[in-house]
Amino acid sequence: MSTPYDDHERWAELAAGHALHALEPDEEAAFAEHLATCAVCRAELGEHELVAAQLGALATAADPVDESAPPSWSSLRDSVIGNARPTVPSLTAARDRRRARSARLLGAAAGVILLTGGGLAAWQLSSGGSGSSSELAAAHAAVNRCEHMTGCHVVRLDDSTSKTRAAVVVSGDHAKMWPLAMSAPPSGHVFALWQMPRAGRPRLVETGTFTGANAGSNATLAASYADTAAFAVSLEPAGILPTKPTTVLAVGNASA
Amino acid sequence: MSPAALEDAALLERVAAGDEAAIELIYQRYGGACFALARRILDDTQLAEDVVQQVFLALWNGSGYDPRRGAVSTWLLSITHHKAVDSVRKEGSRRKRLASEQALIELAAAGPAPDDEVWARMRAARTREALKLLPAEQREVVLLAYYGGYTQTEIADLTGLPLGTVKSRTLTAMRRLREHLGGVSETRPDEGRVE
Ligand SMILES: [Zn+2]
Repeated sequence: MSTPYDDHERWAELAAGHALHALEPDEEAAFAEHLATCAVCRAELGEHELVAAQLGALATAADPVDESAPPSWSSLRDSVIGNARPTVPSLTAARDRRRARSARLLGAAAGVILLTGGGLAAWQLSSGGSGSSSELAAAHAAVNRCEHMTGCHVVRLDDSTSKTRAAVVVSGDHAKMWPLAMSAPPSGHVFALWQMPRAGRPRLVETGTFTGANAGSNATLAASYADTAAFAVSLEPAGILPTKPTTVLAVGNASA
Repeated sequence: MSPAALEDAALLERVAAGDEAAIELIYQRYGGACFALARRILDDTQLAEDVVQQVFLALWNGSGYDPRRGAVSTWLLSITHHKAVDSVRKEGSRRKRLASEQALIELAAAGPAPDDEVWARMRAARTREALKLLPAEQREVVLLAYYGGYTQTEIADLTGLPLGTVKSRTLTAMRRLREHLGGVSETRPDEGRVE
């Protein structure tokens, strides 16, 4: 008979449970003891903790902007720092006020373009119509062709309701975005295709309306597909080259 | 290390030296994410504020954070999660139980975001995609643990699954999430820098 933890996979299971803070106290104690002696578990736990942090970051994006602001630093300061030292009230308070005001202004300005409650509202309103049916047929043909070619990758960009809005076809170091359910951007705006490397900030691939005569070109990627975590399409003001995505509309993970 | 991580590391050295401005900067950068996580688990603003306060108190007191083990953002979210889960277990009656997990995946990334949040939103969109790629039964055990604050024993009771199944499913799910999410850098990129 084997004891429950003979099989190292059992320790691996405890590592996952530990990262989620979901173990019972006795398991927690047993795992802590094992962890001190096992480099394999320490390495895997590190990976689980990264995944857990990513799950945690979902909460930030899920919370409606104004529902409940985090406490200001000034309101926490005394209980964290202790009140031995005098507070410097002016800076913090002024900054909090400024932040609140700029958040409102930003929201108001953006509301002109997009309905609140979803960065995708503009698309939803226009019922997702995508160019002409011949353009759509060309897009589907390109996606199909790629799917039957070795070394060609299709990354579908889904909006927050899981509706696929576009497909990025990557062949070698070139990528082309094919709209599948996109209407033209609001006037004064363009779409931007971004490549998200596995490390570092998003890189701009191309901007445009991606419809009609202005369909996306076969743009050169900034980093190889192998180093790409995801592609995303965002809405940007026309006329300036964006350095980072402003309003992300759809995202798709690059497959390994 | 990414520029943001280097910046964090410098701030943490100042925190360790008792520099109050440095911990305030760390708070401005990550306090909102910690609060959002605690509030999502606890469904209570006051309890969430208490958790966030405890987290930053721990950071200020130098208890627990080891820079060799990863980015401070990961650590802050981890300790926030731990304290929130402890709190929800004490406040059992307040639990929202099963309600929120599906909502969490399906929630639209809300409207336009300040610059700092865009990166977080993109990461969140990727995480949601990775969750959707999991079979429902794997997603369930992970979300019940992480956002429900249930122990694996409680999850076995709730779902009627053998405890061993809960454990093996959770491990498989966490490994798959890791695969789908790839080696994404754990701190936000340096927004200002043009390469
Ligand atoms: Zn081990």
